[in-house]
Amino acid sequence: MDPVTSVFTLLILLLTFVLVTLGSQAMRRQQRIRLSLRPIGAYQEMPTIIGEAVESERPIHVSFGGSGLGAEATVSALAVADLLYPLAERAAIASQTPIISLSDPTALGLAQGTLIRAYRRRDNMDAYTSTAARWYPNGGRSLALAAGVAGALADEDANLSVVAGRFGPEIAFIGEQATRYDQTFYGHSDQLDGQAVAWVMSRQPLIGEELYVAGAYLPAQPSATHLSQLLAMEGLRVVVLVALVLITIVAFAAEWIGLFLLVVGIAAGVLAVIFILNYLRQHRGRAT
Amino acid sequence: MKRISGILASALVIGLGLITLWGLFPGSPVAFIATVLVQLVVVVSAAAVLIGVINLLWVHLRRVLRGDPGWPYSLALFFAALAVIVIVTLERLNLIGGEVSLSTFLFNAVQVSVESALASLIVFFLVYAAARLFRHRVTWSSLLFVVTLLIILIGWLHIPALDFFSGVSEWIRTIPASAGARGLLIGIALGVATAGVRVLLGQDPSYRE
Repeated sequence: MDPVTSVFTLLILLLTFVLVTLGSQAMRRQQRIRLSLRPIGAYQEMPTIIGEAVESERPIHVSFGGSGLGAEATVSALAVADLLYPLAERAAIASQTPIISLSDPTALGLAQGTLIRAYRRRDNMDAYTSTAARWYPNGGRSLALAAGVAGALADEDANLSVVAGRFGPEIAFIGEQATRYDQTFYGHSDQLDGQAVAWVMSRQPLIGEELYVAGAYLPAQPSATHLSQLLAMEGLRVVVLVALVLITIVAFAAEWIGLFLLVVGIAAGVLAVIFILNYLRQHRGRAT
Repeated sequence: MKRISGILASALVIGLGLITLWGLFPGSPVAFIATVLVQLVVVVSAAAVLIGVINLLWVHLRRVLRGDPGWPYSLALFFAALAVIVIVTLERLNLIGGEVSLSTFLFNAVQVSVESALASLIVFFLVYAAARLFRHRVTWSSLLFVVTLLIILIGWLHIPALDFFSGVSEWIRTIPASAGARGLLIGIALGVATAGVRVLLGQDPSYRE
């Protein structure tokens, strides 16, 4: 890392740290705070579809893709685990164990651990099977995973397929198979090409940062930490937006100083006219 | 006891996470510790592959034993995996060999060719999916998607009569598509940063419960 990047990274991390800590403390102290979350269609639909899966005794499928622990995709693997836990917890009352697929073996323990937590929470460890989490060897792309999962989805008649984490365009195989066998499909990828394909094939799109807030949306009572993470992300988003606008204005001003002054002048003039008209209207109202 | 192990796990995660992070910065005095920790991850990953292979074999053997739908494929996979393990072991012991090793030949003949065939099918799935997009959600965004797709495809043709589309296609790829991709990546980066900090604060439930 060069010094400038280091300073920016440190600043962003410190800001995130402060936002998450403050948000978490505020959420814990003020139990009555009710956040109104921006609706995300996929997260709104998932609980209902899992209810249908439980009633029809069909399994659900969640895939980690190429995400695993110890590399670049560590956080995306943890985010998929966050997504998996509330889904598995809802499905854990049924006899059908969820199908978990992954192509990075380091995610195997994470997936099994998450499932065990969900089954323990529901006190239904008898229904848990260690083969629920399955490793599919990966090549240059996750094609083997995609082809293997597509076959398993057809054989085991899954009701819901949530595919998130690290995927390329091969996510299309799973989406296609899910559609062919009347299974609800939600896709997400932290890779641009995979995300584009997932958007086309999903019943409701899950885009970009939406994967990382599953813990705040899916549980009936989300934890203070997950909500504070969501708040921190929104705060950072505002900071990035303001920074982008300011940089654009400064760059525009430096390049086209004359035009910039003209635009600012016109904007100031329009605002002044609006202010005067409003003042006159109010003044006239009071006089009559 | 459970509470103490949870606190210990959190303390370990926070401590090691912060040391690794600090080690990434230039001139950090703990850089060597961070390097050792990262190398430790590589060792753990290698062990995880072995666990993955056992998991794969056990999952498919179980399918065969229970007679689940598609069990013949599982049987084929089980014996193929065992055969490859035997071949690679014999090669390492120099009991079989040649100019091109048998395992490399099998990999190129089976795995690479099958993956290439699968990759070539992706484009058909995508075009079909784009056409089907209207069946389950007709929105302004899906309409915009299909119109953009058509413009890009026509733009690629480089027909002199349709030169206008070529220009529009180029503009779409360099300005709006590039801006959208950057927006998406910034969003993912924000998600990664906040989720990463949550883990560094010892708030992730995966190791605390």
